[in-house]
Amino acid sequence: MNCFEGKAEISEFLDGELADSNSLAMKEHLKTCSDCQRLADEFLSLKFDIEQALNSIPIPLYLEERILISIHLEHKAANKQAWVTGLFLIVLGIPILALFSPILLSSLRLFNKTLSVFIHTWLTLLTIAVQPSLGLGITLMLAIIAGLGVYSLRALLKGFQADEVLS
Amino acid sequence: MITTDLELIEQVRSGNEEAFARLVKHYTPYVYRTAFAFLHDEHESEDVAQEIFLKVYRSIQELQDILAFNAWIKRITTNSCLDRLRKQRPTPVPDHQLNQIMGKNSQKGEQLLEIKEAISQLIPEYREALILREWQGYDYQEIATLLSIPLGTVKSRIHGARVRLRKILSE
Repeated sequence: MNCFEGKAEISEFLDGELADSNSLAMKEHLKTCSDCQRLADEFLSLKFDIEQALNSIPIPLYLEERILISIHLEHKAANKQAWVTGLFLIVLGIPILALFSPILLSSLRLFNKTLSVFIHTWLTLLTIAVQPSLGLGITLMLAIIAGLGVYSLRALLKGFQADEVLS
Repeated sequence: MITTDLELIEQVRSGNEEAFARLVKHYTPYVYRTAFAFLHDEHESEDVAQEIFLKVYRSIQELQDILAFNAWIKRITTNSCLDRLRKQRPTPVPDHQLNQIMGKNSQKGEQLLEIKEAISQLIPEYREALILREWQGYDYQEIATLLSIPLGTVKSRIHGARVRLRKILSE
């Protein structure tokens, strides 16, 4: 390794980011080159000085208190917002519900009928096609698959919320 | 992480306001100094520190492993500072300020001040790479990911920042 290469790679060497073979070559070079050794010493001392300098940055007076107050205010504002939104939805929802209640009722009735027909057909098919115990097994398996589906969907949505912090 | 820290985080997660106040007190120096190292502006640093603790307050329930709290808060701090840095307008340093830095003597207190001011004179690209390495302790690959730049660019920015800093301090 020559001085030109040594000086270019000295930061990587000091940060432990140089490949093993280059690191050995650098160590050997530093033993014989006072110029590069001096640069390495200066960079090392700079590393220490930077840490010390940043650790000496004064913290503004009562900063913690101001942070806590701002969080408290934000929390209070968010709570108020949630109440207002909830109230608004209720006020808006009642007339809408009243207006559409006959349609909603017929939809619910239709849903109920469809569901009972579906369950009835499913049970009849199971009883005709397979033995009752096997039919119960298949039904249970389908229920587990549906449960797993719901669980996966929740996990997926939870992941989306966490991303907000890392953005 | 020591046990008392873990207990504190557990208490914060269970909604203890007093514990959160202690957590803020405990981490404010680190958060504020990191913000100041990146931004070099007292007002902006304080603003970012508030933003960071608000994120912590809102999201601490989502932290899966409390042993990873330090890495988690470091990540939130870094990302918030980098985001703020991106929004900052570049402000050229007047010549008289540069001369002030170079003209200082080498008493310890003044030397630290000199280094802080010299860091602020680095171009933002050099400064953020150097702070991420020297203060935050990220390795080159992590820095490349955080800044979305190639590994080779990280190497040259860190090395370039050290060379430039050395030059400013020696002039």
